[in-house]
Amino acid sequence: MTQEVDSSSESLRERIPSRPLIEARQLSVVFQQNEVLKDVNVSIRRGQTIAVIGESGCGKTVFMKSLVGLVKPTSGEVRFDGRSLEEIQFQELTETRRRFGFVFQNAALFDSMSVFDNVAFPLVQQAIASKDEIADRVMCHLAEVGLPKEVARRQPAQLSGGMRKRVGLARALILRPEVVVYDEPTTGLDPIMSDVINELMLDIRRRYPVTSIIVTHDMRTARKVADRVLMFYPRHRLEPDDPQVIYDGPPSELEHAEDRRVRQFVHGEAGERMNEMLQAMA
Amino acid sequence: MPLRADKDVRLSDTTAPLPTTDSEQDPNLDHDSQWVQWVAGCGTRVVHGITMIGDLSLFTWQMLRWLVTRLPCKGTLLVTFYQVGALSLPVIALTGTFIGMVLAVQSYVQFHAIGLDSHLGVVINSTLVKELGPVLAATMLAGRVGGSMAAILGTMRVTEQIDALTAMGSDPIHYLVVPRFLACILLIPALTVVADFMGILGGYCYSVIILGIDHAAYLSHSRDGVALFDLFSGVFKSVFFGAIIAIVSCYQGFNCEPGAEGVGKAATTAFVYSFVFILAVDLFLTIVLNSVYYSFFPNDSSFL
Repeated sequence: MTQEVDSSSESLRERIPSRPLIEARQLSVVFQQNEVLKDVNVSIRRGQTIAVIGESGCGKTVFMKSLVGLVKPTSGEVRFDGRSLEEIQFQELTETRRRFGFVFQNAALFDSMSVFDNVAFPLVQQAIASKDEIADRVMCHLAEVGLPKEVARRQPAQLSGGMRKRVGLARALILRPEVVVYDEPTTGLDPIMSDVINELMLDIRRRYPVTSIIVTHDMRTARKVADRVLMFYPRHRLEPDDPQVIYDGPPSELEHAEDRRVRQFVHGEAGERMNEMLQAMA
Repeated sequence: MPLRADKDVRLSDTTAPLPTTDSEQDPNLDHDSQWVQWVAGCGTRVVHGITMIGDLSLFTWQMLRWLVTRLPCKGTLLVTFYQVGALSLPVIALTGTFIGMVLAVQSYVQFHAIGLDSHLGVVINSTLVKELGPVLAATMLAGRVGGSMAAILGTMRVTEQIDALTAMGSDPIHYLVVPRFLACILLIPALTVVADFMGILGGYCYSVIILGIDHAAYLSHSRDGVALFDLFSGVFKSVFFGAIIAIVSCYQGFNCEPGAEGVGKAATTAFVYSFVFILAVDLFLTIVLNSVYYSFFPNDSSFL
């Protein structure tokens, strides 16, 4: 019986082409005269955990914000669940955004609200739960990210960096999103707290069937949490026809990547950048 | 509110430096290219100004659309109303009182010289009710509330809180701008009346107690000198001033440049632009309201 179910679901999977959940097609973003992204093509399948790495200013955050429609592409498109964000009407785009959970670099907690109100905010705005249910879910999510009950009453300004990130994570998860997007989740944290955040990301992945996109500089995060790594290279340092994504593969292969720039980044070597800087100084 | 990469691209097209390849070889060409650059610079500023007006109009339109489709929740509104109205009350009452007194001090010498001391109240009260009350209340509100709005929203922009709102499926204009707009337009008339009242009181106290003007004559002339329409025109204008403060300040906050300097600049620009717009709109509305008034009462003069 089990075999029958398995085989039928297998054949169903074969018949229905598994389309990517998120897809960037020829995505280009230009700010003023600064070309940040050019012709980026990336497909992300449901359930994947992707780490987006690259040096500062290479367009990782812009890429991530483009995926949720926070940055409008200059050309190209982003498709979510088979539909282009450009085609989606305002109300539907709002609904689509609720399928994402967003953990911002500095948590982006609302200063004027307590931790409880910050985590409850998406639920309150949706008006989809009673007060008791909201309270239960908020406390449950705070516990999930390892924060004690007392934290709920505090203001964001009274929290440490690690606590802020965890509150941000609880807020991102409260609507049970399909995709969780992390913007530099371990930046500015000590190694132990960084590892706590990494473990939390893994835990969330185990607990919920989410697709995760992690923008990070931290190779430990990329190696530990991701099952696929994309490396972006700054557009201004590339030839016009060069692809901007210079690595797309498993984290285990990063060390042995053919591209020297990938290996340099992974090992944290300045390489020819130092020569460039010295030349500029001269 | 999504960052507008497409808009920036359009702007960048106009700000692109013009080619100046042969300028070193030919001085005439150098002169010409300087002219071309000057003209291009002027054009860029004009385009930038038009773009900003367009952006501001779109921003206002989006805000008005939310205003008629869905109001923010009561909790958000009450907090904003308290911050804009109740917290502005002491400062507006105090400045209103001083302005009334200053008007008495400034006008007394001239009025005393022609023996019209008891008519001082007419000038103080009508000036306050028609002009100084609404403009003063608006100026104080632009400084206290407008600057604060721009700084708060600017900080929210810089620290990605506005992006977080959008990412969570809320509309930042609905959540942040609509309550502030409503608070400004609904409470500024009340604050204007307070400024008027305190100014009149300050002027009366200074004139009667310090300058020794007969209080019965002062009150009698004051009552005769100020028409209901004067009070109406002041309060009517203040609604527009409130709208200007809210829209300009929120717009500046939403379009804040990164960093502490960007937030400071947004707050300053919000106050300066609000003040300039308030005075310009004041002039326009005063002309219109005077035309309306004198078309109904062509021979009316409230001074003597």
